[in-house]
Amino acid sequence: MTQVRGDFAQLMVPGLKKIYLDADEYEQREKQYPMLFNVKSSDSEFEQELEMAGVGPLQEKPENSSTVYNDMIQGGSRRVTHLTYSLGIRTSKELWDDDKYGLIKTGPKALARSTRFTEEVVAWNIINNGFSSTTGILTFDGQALFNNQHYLLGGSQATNIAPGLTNIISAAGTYPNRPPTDIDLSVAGLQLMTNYANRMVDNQGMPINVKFKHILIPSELVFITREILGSTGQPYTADNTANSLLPEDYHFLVGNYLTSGSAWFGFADKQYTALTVWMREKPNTDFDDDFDTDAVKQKTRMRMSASCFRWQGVFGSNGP
Amino acid sequence: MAANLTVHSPVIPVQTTSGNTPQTNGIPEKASQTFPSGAPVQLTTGYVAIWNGTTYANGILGFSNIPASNLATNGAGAPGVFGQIGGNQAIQTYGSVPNQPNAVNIALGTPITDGRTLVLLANSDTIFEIQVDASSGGTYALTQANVGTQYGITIDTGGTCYLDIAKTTVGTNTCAQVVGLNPIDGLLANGHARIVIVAPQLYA
Repeated sequence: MTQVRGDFAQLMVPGLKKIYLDADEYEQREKQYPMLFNVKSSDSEFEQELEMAGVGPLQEKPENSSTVYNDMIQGGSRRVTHLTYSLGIRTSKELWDDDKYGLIKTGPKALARSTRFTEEVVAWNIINNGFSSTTGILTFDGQALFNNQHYLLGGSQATNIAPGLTNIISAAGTYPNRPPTDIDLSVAGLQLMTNYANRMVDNQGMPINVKFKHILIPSELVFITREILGSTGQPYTADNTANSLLPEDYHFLVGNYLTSGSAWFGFADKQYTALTVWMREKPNTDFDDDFDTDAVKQKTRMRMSASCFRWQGVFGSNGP
Repeated sequence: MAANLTVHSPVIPVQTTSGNTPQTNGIPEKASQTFPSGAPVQLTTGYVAIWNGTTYANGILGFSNIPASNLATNGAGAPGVFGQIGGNQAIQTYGSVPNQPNAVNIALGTPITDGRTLVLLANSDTIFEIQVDASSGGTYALTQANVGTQYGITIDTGGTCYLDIAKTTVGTNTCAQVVGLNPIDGLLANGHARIVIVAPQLYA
């Protein structure tokens, strides 16, 4: 539709003491997704990625016997296709000219706010939807991002090789980055997550150096997180036991774009995860006049996508 | 006597009355669709499917702008609100992945699929060009006198369609009005006519 003077009659004459325009009154939050997401540019319709596994451990070779040979394993491939996001404002020339406060001409500022929000939501929905294989993206193994049974390319041999997995896995040949039963953010939950990281293996079952550093929480969990991570003694106990979580040096981030009030997450530093925001076309604004109506058009568009095809380095529990 | 040709040119938009770009919309595709680009389509329970070929009044939504993706389920992979395209995002996978039953190999270069199909909507503004044929009779060409006449459309064995000049009973088996002829082959057998859809599925 077109903004016309009848919808903005208050702006046609001077006399208003103050106009509270959203874009002027409140700054938006700083960009949050670059804290956890790798930001990459793209020059293609889509980006496709592939997972590969190396080989298993060396095998003992009896005297004068032949060397055993093993193959690397080509894993699954995944594709992310960039989507276009666009929004415009169309204003009659009469409204454009007669607005005494110049507010109508601030359309680009409003569009910039909309763009910032859209970027954030597109990125954070990778995490918000990460518990579902229908609404969320799939990782290389075809599972939802947060899953109790991520398939290892090495299969059950990988989990047989891996040291001490029997207490962690719920099925041979898999590794979890989500509890078998979702658990609240708690001392026990953080200990479980820490153990998942410490025992984490590659596709052939060999331990990898994963360290979760960032605990991502919704605002509803801020206070309990402070209690758990801020106490020098073990939280919620009367004895003098040390808070054993403190040496983990976890930092918590409040995700303002998380939709669940109880889901919480753990992430390694972003260079150790596959969390990615792809920017195919950076946000850009254009203007034009309609020749026939003289209406002024302002438009912002961008092309972007987000992905996380590898589950290592990320953890999620969907509250209960 | 059957149609003169077994396959026909895709229907394409060639002009608009307003001079604007033809209206196109991305709509979730119904499962198991194999129509080519330029085929007549309809909405079936909200999903785009090949036109049933028999509903002339308010039956044709428009013409496909891209080939169908033969989806496993209705709208498979269509992105949710601020979500990503789901599923494999590609129309072709092959083989299997060791120890990972849900993983896939996406053939490099295979086109994307996003669960939707682009439809050139048959509103009154858009003028389409369609090949002329006849499902019965031995005449396969229009004359200048036929401009303004309504005809039916028939889907051929290739999934595209033709302006069927054997269908002339207005209100029964017609849906397209000839508004012009292709200046090069419009008067030849199996030439091309310019049409508007008289009573499309939307904008009725």
